[in-house]
Amino acid sequence: MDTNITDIRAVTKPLTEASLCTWLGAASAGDSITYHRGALARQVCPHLVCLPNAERVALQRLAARAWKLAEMGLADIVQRRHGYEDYAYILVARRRPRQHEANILRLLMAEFA
Amino acid sequence: MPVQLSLADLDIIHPIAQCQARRLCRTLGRPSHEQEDIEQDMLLDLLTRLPSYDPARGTLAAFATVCFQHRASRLATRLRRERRERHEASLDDAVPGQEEQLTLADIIPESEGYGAWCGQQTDSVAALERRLDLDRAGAVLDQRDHCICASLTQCTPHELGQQGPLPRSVLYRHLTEMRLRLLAAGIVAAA
Repeated sequence: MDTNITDIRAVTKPLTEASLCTWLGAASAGDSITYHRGALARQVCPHLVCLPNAERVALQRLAARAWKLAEMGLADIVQRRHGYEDYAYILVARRRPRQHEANILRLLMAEFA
Repeated sequence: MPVQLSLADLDIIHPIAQCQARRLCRTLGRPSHEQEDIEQDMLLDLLTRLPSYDPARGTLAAFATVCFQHRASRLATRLRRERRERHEASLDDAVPGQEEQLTLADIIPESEGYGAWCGQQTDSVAALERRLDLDRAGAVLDQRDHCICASLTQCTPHELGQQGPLPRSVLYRHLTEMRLRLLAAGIVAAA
């Protein structure tokens, strides 16, 4: 009997902050995911009411999380234009730093000192 | 007729028991804190033998001395036997019957070492992985969140919110942020 191997990088729609972070955690350098398609700036604007409120807040959080991940240096955010007010917002995983700063060790040493 | 011990008799017997116990401890190289146990053992032995004491044949001190000496002899035999069973050996002793020159320290697995007896983690690979995970998680989290993590090992988020100083809503926002950062760093246990 064949056994299906679960793809841990597969994400279920709709994307949430947690699923985006989980995807990035399992992604290799260069892997990409389209986290939104449309005109983000217009759709998250509360005055234009392009989306229902709950959906708009979720989209805003998702976009803010993508931005934070880029700021942390874990990913790059790019967009591809498909047409008028039709963009694909893409998150591209970056190469992880080879060595993290061992600050836990420093903390433990400070505690024992 | 059974002999009843008076306080004056105990004043005589106690120093003898103490002396015999000290001598036994010194002879066998036992730690000094065992002296009281041995002394109690000797006194108990004397009490069980007291009905056979005949004052016409000698003093109580002489009877007690003989009882203590016999008991000390039996205790010494038992303690020596126990020591032999424990098979004291140096970790540097060579193991006989081996082609390679192996010492006892080479063949004792870490899982049966002193650290394991004290309840320490003996799986070095698991310990290394945990250390790497901790380092990775520590690098991902903010320095200010480390004290929250340390507090969460002692109490639940609900209790921590009640204790302060962080307001409950801020604390839960921090926790959500930390969880997402850990997930983004590939630490799936945070999910």
